[in-house]
Amino acid sequence: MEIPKKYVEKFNKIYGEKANLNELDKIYSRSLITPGEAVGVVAAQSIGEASTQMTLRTKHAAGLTSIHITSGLPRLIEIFDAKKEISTPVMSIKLKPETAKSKQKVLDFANAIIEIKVEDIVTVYNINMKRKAIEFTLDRDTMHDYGLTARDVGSKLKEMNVEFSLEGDTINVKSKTSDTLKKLMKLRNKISATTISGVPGIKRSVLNTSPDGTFWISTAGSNLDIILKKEEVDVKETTCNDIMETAKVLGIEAARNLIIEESNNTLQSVGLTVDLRHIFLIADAMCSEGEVRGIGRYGISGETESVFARAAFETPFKHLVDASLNHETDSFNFVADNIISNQVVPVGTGTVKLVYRHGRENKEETGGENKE
Amino acid sequence: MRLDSNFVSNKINGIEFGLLSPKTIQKMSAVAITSSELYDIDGFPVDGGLADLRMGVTDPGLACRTCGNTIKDCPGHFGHIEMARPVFNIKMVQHVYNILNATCESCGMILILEATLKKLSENITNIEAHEGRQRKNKFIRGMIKHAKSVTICPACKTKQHKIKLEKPYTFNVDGQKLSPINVLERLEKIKDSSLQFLGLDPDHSRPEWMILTYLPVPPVTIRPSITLENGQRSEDDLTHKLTDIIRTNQRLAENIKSGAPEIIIDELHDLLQYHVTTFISNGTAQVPIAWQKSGKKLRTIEDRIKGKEGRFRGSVLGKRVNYSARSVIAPDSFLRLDEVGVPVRIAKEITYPESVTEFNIERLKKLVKNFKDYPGANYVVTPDGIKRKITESTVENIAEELAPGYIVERHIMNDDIILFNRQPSLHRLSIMGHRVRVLPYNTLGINPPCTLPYGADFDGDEMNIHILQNEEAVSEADMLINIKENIVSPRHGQPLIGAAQDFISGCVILTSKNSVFDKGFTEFLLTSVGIEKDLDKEKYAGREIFSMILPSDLNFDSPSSTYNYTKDDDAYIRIKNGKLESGVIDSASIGRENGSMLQFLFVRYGADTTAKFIDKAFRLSLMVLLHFGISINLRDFYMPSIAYNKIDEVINEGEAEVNRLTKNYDEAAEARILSYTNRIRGRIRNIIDTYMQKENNTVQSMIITGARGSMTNVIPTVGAVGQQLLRDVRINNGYDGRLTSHFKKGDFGLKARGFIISSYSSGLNPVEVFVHSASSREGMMDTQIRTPISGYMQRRLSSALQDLKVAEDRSVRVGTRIVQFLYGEDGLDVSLSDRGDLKL
Repeated sequence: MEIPKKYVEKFNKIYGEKANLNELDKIYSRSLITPGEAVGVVAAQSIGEASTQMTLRTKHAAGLTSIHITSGLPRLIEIFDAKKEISTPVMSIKLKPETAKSKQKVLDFANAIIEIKVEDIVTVYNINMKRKAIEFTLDRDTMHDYGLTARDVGSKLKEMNVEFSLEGDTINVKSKTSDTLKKLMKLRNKISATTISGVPGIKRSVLNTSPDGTFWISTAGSNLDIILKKEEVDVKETTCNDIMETAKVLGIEAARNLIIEESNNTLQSVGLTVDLRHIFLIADAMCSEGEVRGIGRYGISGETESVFARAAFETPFKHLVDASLNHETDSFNFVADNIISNQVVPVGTGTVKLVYRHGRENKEETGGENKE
Repeated sequence: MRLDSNFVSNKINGIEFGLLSPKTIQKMSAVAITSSELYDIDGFPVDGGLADLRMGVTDPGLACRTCGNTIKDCPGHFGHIEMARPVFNIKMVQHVYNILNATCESCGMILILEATLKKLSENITNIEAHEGRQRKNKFIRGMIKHAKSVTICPACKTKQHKIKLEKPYTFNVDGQKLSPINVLERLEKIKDSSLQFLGLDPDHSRPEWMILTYLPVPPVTIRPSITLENGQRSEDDLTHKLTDIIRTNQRLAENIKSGAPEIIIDELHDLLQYHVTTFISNGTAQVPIAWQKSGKKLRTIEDRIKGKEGRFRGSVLGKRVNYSARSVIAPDSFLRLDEVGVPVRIAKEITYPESVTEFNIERLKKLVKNFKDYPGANYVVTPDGIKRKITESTVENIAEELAPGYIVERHIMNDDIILFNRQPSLHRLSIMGHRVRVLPYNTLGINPPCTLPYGADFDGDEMNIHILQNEEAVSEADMLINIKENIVSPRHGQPLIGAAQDFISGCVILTSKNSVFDKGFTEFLLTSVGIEKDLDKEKYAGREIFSMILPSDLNFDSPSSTYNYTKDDDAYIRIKNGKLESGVIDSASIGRENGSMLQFLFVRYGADTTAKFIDKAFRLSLMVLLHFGISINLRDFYMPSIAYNKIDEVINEGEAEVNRLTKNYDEAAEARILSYTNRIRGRIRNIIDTYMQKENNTVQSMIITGARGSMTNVIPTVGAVGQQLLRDVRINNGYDGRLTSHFKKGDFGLKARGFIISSYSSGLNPVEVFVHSASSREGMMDTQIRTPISGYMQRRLSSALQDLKVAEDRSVRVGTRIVQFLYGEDGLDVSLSDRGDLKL
């Protein structure tokens, strides 16, 4: 085996460039993993056994400004499930140096990305059936805080292709197509959920100071795609904790790294040590097919080649019926099917195949003599 | 035929899955079932009934009429029922629905342009070859979805009528019911060439086979009838359901034959459909559940297969085993690390089959003759495979007969390798190989340092042992999962087997700066670990004695736990050429889960040396402790009154501060208060740290050396128990607007929201007891709920990763697909390296 570079460098640093690498080779070979080792099961057990010691309830970090993040076992499950919508998406947005130094600029940016919907700046909305119109009463104070004017709302409404008129603090919206109450209510809900300013999905943003005196932003809610396209943003340093979103925007390798980082942080935050290798392996297994697959029935476990392995995990009837219709063949190259048929599993010592050619001679003779 | 378990002559290479065609069903059937009667008046199985002897036998004494074997060897044979009218198989309904709507109603082609079919066919083959079966199925699902939306057949231009599925099993076309007969006709029309686009195979899964025209009847061996004590027969649930099917089927056939009105036939057909449905699955949505007479749900085919106790998870992936024993465990420090104390009663009951050779024949003969006592033997297996019990009357013959080729099932004896296990088996270290030590107790003995990987304690825990039954298993248990080989955990590369509590305290006494022992005691210590040596000095330093059990070429430097705390240079461990020059041996070097020295030894000197070292070090430690002992005293918790005054001051200040914060009470203030309570705790900790006696304080020394306890245990004992939380907030529920009636409404102060200012030593007042128990109850509930959740996560993880293994080139693969090019990015084994790194 070729010794990984990092160890050669470390060795050379300690013993000089010309040191004999044989010594290192001895140490490296001694510590190598044994071929055939069922590393998957070891990884699963390492995480699983550790997770029995985790807390279920998420602990709030004390303090005002921090943003609540799911942690502990629920977060770990969320990561491995590759959930499409995670319970607490957050982002940490780093800005380019010229912006990051100025508190005011960062603060402005932080406020600008918060998503403001129509419902956030409206105090009352009525459906006036007589006029077949929806009346929105705007909250001037809030609008002022956000730096918005009624015109901003108007321009958004224009994009939505609805008729509207402005009377003081009230916006009357009419629509040609919507005449029944049901349709009007639908329209009202649609309008209230419309983003007027900011980045969709960003609910809250908080200013943070880094040790070097620059400022960065953490947000509740995430929208990696749009944030990364902003001019002020340092694309390299900005992250988000949503694995599926990261996979979509930055690709599978980014998602793999995020899985590793997030699960390691989750484990470390409750004081559990699990070697990174195990987490690497789970992340690689989840990402090896080019898209993020969860560990459950709809992910890796549901896609194994072996019919019996799938059937043994969950919903056996479904898998057996599907296998029959598709005329599948279980090739007995996996663990579960070999256990089922009482054969040696193809991992560990079972990887090695020895064939003893048993002659036609008397059976009695073979009793003690076939051990060479 | 007797299977010789030592040789694997045949191996299953693969199992094909497919649908049973009516022809196959008839072909594999041993008998056509025509009668709903089971037995005649004499209690003999009726020909053509559900207990027909051609389907196998369940009664001892009767012979199967198909294969001629008796109950032991007859595997059972299928029968069949010819359906008067075809019925749906409930598990196929959804598929039938998809196929019907994706194919043309007149020409039976898939509703996709013929020109694109060739391209699609290539795609399917490509996807299957390169991306696997699952992707292919996904692709086909997409195609079917597309075909379902086509309204005019591209081949014959017929307009398609949308078929609706009314769950559970009624097909409608334009409000007209489509009977299974109609469906069957349509399915038969589908061309073989279209099948591959539906994911089917012309030879193994023709669509019309999804409809049952013949029903296979499972052999009696899987639905045995049992004879009750009163001589009455009780039939299996499946037999009952089959009886219903036969009866209904007969009535339907008769009515059709006699030309009964359509409505009666339809009704009977529906009933037949219901019975066949519940025969397969008794729990389909919208199908009434079939009940037993006793009021239980009928356990039919699907129930037998699915779930934890089903065939897969309950019968073939996990089974009950012989040659195992279970008992309460008890600590026994005089066992070696890799030993397990086995009660004689167990040793006499469970056996190991030892082959007779010319080398052991005399010994085994002796065992056979001594069958009544321990050590003896229970059975002998002759070369032609007959097992014979050794009894008073047979012992002479057997002992005489014994020759190479025989197998003696002898009692287990000292140094046999067995498996030791404690549930829940959360990781591979929950089941490890141990050496037997037969002892005259009724409990299984275990050396206390070995308890951590099993998670065992001695408050009544029970553990299991499994006696291996062949040489291959024994050698694997000895070399791979022996407890010695698993001192270092593969999870984090730290030793799970190591010192705790007394073992650490003992070692600390032995190796601390000023410990010197006289010649006599030194001799006693050394003999206890088996070192025989002429002592030429009158006095020996503890560190000198400890050095004697170290490997003579060991060089090891590491901070000790004591050093980390006191920064006393003398406590820093320095071992040069096997001599402990300075340093206190405590939890940082030999403790569980952080013993750096154990890990160092394990990687460099191997499992045996490490195990021997642990044995000797812990024995020394115990012997030292036996003579010196440690105990704690109330004085260990003593603080001068000034300290208590200061604590009171902190609490008073805290109350004032909280009262100030509650003036403008809102969410933000609450968050500030919560973080402030943490600060109070920190300040109390500092006071205790400052004022608690340092010298001659056992509690302190236990904390410092890592033997037991920590400051978090001391603070509530002498300082204040502190803030009690419920759902991560200060306790606030109870009465309207207040916690209990002891407080006023609108009091958000420290005490009114669950802060306990008393300590355990001063005692809690009633309100404090109340909030404390509320908080601890939450903790207990949390653990209760967490266990199944994390258990399920582990099951999913295991199932997803069970096939990953390291290949010869240290890449990680599943079958032929590569997951990692080099395991862990550097190919290191966590437990064989320095915590996943190389210390150079």
